[in-house]
Amino acid sequence: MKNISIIGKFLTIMAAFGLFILGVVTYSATQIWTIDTNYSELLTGEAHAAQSLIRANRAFQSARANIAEMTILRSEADSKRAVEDLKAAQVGVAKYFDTAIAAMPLETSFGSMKTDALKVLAESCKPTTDLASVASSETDIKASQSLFISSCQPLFGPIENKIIAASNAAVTSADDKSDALTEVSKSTIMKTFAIVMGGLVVVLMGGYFAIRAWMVAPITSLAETMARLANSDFTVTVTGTDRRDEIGGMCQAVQVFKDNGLKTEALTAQSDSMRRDAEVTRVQTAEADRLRAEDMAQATSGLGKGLQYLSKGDLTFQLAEPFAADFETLRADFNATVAQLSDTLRAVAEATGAIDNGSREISASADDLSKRTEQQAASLEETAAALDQITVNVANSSKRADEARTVAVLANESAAKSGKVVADAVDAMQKIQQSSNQVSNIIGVIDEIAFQTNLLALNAGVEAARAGEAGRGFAVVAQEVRELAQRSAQAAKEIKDLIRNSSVEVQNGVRLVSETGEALKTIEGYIITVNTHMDSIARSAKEQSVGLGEVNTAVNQMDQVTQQNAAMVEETSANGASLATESGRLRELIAQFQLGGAARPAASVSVAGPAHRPVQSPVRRMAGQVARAFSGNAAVKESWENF
Amino acid sequence: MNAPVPSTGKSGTLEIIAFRLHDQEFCVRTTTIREIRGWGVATPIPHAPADVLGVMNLRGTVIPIIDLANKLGMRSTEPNERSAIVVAEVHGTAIGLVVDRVSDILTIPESLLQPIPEISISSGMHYADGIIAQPDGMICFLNLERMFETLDTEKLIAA
Repeated sequence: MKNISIIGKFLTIMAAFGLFILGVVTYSATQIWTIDTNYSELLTGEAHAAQSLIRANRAFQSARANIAEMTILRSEADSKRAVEDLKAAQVGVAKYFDTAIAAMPLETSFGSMKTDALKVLAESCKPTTDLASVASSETDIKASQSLFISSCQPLFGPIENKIIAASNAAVTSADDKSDALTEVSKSTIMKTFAIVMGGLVVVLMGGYFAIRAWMVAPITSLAETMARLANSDFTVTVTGTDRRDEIGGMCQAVQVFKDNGLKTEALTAQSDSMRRDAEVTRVQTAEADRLRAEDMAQATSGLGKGLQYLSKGDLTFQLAEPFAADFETLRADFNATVAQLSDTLRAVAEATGAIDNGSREISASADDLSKRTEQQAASLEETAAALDQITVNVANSSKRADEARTVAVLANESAAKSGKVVADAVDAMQKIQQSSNQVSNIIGVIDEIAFQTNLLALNAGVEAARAGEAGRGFAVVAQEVRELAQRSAQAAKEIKDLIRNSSVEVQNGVRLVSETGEALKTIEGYIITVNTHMDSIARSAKEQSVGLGEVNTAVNQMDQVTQQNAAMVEETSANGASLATESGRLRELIAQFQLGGAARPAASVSVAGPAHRPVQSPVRRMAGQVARAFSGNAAVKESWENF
Repeated sequence: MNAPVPSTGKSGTLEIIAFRLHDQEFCVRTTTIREIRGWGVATPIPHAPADVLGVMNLRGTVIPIIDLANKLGMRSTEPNERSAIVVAEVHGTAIGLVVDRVSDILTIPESLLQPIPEISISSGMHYADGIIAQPDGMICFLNLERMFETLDTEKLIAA
């Protein structure tokens, strides 16, 4: 069991328990099946047989009653029905006896009882039934009745008793069997309980000992081992490391603990020996140090003397007294250092003269630069002025373009209005033409009237002529009327001509007005073109504005550069001044040293004053003005007195 | 041929009514005229001569309408609403003469009436009694009596 895991062990115990339960269940099932079979037999056997016997007895009794009825009845129809009933009863007796025999085939007495009963009905009572079935007279009836009482009736009693006894015996047998089965059931229950209890005890005991042997004992021994290891007792032997279950894993881990403890002990012993070696070495070193300190004191005092000379500025001093061998190089180095320092300071004195000259040149350059910066500032001023003027011009042209656009829109509206006026004029002309036509019609009527009047006057003239001398005066009147009529006709004709002319003129007018309308439409198109051009101009003005902004930025950058230049000039001037001062101081400092060679006196340096100051930038103000020029036209008036 | 004797309204004067056919002026004696009417549609008559346009109703009397231009050998008048019908009495019968326009009723001195030169007309066709020369043109003086002979007239009436 060492190589099976804890779960496997538990499963083994559980499997044993399961086997036990399976056995108990099998036993109980077998017992229950047996009891069920016996009960089935009991119900189909004895109980059924008893019931069938009782039914057979009732059919037998009803057959007796039928025979008795036959002896009493007189009418042929009633007798016939009684015969039928008797036959049915006979059949019933036979059927129920057969059922009882089938239920209990081992009982032989049922067969003899059936034979006896049928024999009584079919043979012993036959004379009675034969006589009674045909009897109609009082004597025959009495004869049949006496025959029934003497030969038939007495036979029924013994058979009936037999049947009742047999049925009672069957019932009693059924009860006995039922009791026996109850006993079997009780004993089975008791046995099952006993087996289950006993089995449980056995299994639990087995499980307890198995767990104790397989798990508890190894873990206890491992715990003891671990306790000893905890007390640094590394001599203990770890058992069970060859196990392959979980306890085996624990044992292996404990073995690792033990190995680690052993390693730690070995390391501690090693470090102790090392500490002892170090102590010996330290004592030897202290002795050597003391000897070196003595040598060092001598060298230090020599060096201190040399440094005292140095601090007084005497660079001609040399250490002549020799030091200990270790520090001899130090003395040589000191002497070389002093000599080197002396040479260097001599070179520095010469360099100071050169610096004086350089600072003078720088000063002159700064002056030049200052002048040029002023010139640049003046140029920037001019540029700013020009830029300002351009800005004003662009703003003006932008404004003019806007106004022109407004005027163009107005012109467009006027053209549209003119188109409407032209249409109205055409309408008016057409109305004039209609009126002319009406006038023409009226003139036609007048002409007709003149014609008729002429005719009437002619007739009158004719009549007057026919009247001869008497109609002379009348003829004159007629002549007058004719002349009037002719004048009317003439006038009408002239008016007609005039109207025709005016109609032609009106048509001309309509044509001209239409042409005017066309011309106005063309003008409208031109105005739209003009508007487009104005838009282009406005756009150009905007682009110019953008360009001016870029120019502005460029001028700003130039201004910044100029300012930076000015600042640099100032810085350069200041630096030149401080450079001169510093070179003077440097000369004085070097003069304090006693050098081997003679130091040259330096020329005095003119110190740059605060006269050089960068001019204030004009570009700043100009940039502000450009910004104002674009933000509104009010700023245009301010010109460049501000500069 | 009867000699043309112009009837005189007064001593030495002549009453005429002038009318126009196409571009030519003609005139007749005013006394032969009954009345002057405006143009009315004439009812055509079957198989009538070319110069007879038809007949019309003049206040209950049926009168023939003569295409005078055709009768005078000119191209036919195309009557319009301004044309006139001059109703004349010839041989006691009223006839309608279609003219383009009635120009005037004139009283002229007889001396103005000049005879037509003999050689200018064919013999037997003396429809014109003479020519009256006016400042604005010649007027041909027609003789209706001769133009419509009795036979003609009767024939017309019979028709």
